[in-house]
Amino acid sequence: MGFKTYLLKKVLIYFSVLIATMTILYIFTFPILQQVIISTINVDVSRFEEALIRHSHNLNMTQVNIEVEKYREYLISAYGLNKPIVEKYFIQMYNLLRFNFGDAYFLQAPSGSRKVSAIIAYYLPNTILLFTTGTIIVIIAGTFIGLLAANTKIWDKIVAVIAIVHSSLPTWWFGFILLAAFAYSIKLFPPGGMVSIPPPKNPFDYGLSVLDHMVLPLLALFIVGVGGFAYVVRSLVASILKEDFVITAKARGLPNSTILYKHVLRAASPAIATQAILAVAGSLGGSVTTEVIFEWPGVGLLTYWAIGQNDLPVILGVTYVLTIVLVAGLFLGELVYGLLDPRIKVGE
Amino acid sequence: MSERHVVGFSTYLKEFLSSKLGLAGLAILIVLLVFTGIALSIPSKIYASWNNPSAWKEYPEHVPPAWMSIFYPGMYFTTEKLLPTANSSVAYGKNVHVIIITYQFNWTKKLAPYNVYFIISYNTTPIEEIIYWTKPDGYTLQISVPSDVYNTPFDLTSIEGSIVSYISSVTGKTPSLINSTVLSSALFNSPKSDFTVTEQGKYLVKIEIVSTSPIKITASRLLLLGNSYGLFGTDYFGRPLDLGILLGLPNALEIGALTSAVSVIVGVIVGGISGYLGGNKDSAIQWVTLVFLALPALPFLVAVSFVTRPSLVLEALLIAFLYWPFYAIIARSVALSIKSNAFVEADKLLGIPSYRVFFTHFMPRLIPMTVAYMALGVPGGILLAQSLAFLGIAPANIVTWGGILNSAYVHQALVNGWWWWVIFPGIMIVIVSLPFVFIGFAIEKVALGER
Repeated sequence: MGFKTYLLKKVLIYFSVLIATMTILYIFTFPILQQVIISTINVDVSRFEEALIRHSHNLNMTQVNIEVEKYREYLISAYGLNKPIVEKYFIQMYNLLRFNFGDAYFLQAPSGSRKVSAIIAYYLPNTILLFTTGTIIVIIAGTFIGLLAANTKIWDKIVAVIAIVHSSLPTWWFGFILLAAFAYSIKLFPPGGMVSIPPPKNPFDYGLSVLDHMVLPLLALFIVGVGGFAYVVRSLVASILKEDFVITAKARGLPNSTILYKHVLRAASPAIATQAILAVAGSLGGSVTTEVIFEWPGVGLLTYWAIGQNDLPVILGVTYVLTIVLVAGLFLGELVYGLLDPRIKVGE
Repeated sequence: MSERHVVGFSTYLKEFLSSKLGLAGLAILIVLLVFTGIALSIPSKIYASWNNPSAWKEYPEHVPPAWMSIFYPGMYFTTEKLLPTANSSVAYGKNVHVIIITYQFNWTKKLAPYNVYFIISYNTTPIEEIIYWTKPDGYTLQISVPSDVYNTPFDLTSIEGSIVSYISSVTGKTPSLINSTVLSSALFNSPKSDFTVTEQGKYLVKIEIVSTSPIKITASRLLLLGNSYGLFGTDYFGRPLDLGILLGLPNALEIGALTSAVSVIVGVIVGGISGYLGGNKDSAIQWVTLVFLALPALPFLVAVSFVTRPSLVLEALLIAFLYWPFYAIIARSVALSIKSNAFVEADKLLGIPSYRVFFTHFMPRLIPMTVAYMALGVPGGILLAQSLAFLGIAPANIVTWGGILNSAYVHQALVNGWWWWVIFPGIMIVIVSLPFVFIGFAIEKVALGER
């Protein structure tokens, strides 16, 4: 089995996982999904009616009504509302997989679009920017600390402590505290948002301003997140340290650092990479509360606004998109594992 | 490895009790359980009134904890509750009845009270209700009580009209901002200093009620509200945070424990069977695990809570529904390592039925891990439930720390410097999570050895 077969197998598995996960989500959110579809149809129909009245003066009111009803019937069958449940499922799932989540009730993208997919497309990059950067910092530092912990007693103790911090401290509350300390008490960093207002015109200044706004959220993500990752790396490395090839390397008299960074890290890298991608994908789901505290304009803050206004289409859209992102992340993790693990590359 | 697994339960217990981390966790947990008992003895009426701002008028709004007076002596004080020193009733003929309630107190503090709260209730509808507020210098301010607060407790903002005209008669201008502090300083500070310095000495407050029928006073009290309250201060509506934090304790523990128990048991059984069976069945179970793993927890719970407002138990089950795959993955790898032992092979060769192999060799070896992760899994459930509450999604009629923090966020506690509103509920989330992490780490070390 070469890498190509591996790839094909994984593509099939993850596509089926995507469909299954979306189906679970579909079942759990079925009532509100139907509600959202009905409201989207109503909006579309009234828009159609307006256009019809404005542009076709030769039609009288009854004819307009007939046309409108025809259009409504068309939409209802297009969304599968009048179809039996199985057909309905296939039609609606097809729509969801094409990111067709309907129109938002109240919220809109800065471009003025009411399409949920357009709104999410505007906010998602901000979330990815913040949380991918944060998780990458956590992964690099966590790997390093985890390696140290597997080798030195003091760092082992430190990892135990930061792992405890990781599993008992809510990131968003810690963000609150950081804001109180560094944004309100000593005014070192801005108290929220993504750029200063008004945004700087010069792209370089703009970038600097974004970085300035990223410091506190990144700090919160780092302090809360690094312990968990370091703990995972430490256990991975500790189990590898017991293996024969490490003992052989020690017997050959290789220095400890060479063994650790060349042999052990190499052997651990597929597993670490998988964990890393899992962490990146997982962090996006946990972004909601952290973004609210720092008023970072990503999908998390969008969800919070949507909750406040009962904007169901947006809530559904964000959930479906984040699920797709998570499945894609898991799939990427598997691919990286396949690329890094020599056994799969050679075809064992 | 295999030797560690032969040791029995009592050895585990002995080793656990010798671990400092585990003991510390146990001690915190016992303290928390005592407080949970206290919280559960509070009548449900108080739980229900938490979200009703008018129930908390007797408390000063957004004031820091009472122990602030240790750090700033003389700057912070708590509420003084006064009982009337005298009640005198006079009847003028048949139709005019007058009752005068007198309060007398000595004010020696450098600051005026945060607010003054009048509690008077009686059995009739009065014609007139007038407060005579006599300051130590002898000046008497006459305040007529508006009819809409007759027979209900009221504070200074309800009678601001007379006080504001008094302020403008002294200072020559109307105050731009009228709040309880401004009104209270008019009553307690000397007019010579433009109401910036308190007049210390004896105050005399007379409340005169005139009615056409005989008056019977059922309750009368005068509250001089402090500018600090309790252990953790109060919030924007005057709700005491120490009470709120206590009320939030039982549901935090319940949701954490329930979530963890269900998800770990399901996860260990699924993962254990998966690792034990191997082959195609293992792949199929792993696929199912992956499907559930791919559901993003927080957004999923937000979306589902719009379908049904979940109760506490349902919310815990939903969280467990999302968390079991993590334990299934761990249990599967443990089961795989058990399977590689020679005694499993031997049993199979001897023709012992597979379910018996599973129950005699796999389950006992999975139990220590199950117990450890049941403890370690509690904080995850607590954190997720509090995060949901922070987003405004929580079962009805319970008080959650996440909900308290959400109202702190909504009322901009940080901008206004109300740090106690943010710090204490969050610290409680950490404190409730810690014992489980400690105990879990200790069990993990004892039962599984160094991982």
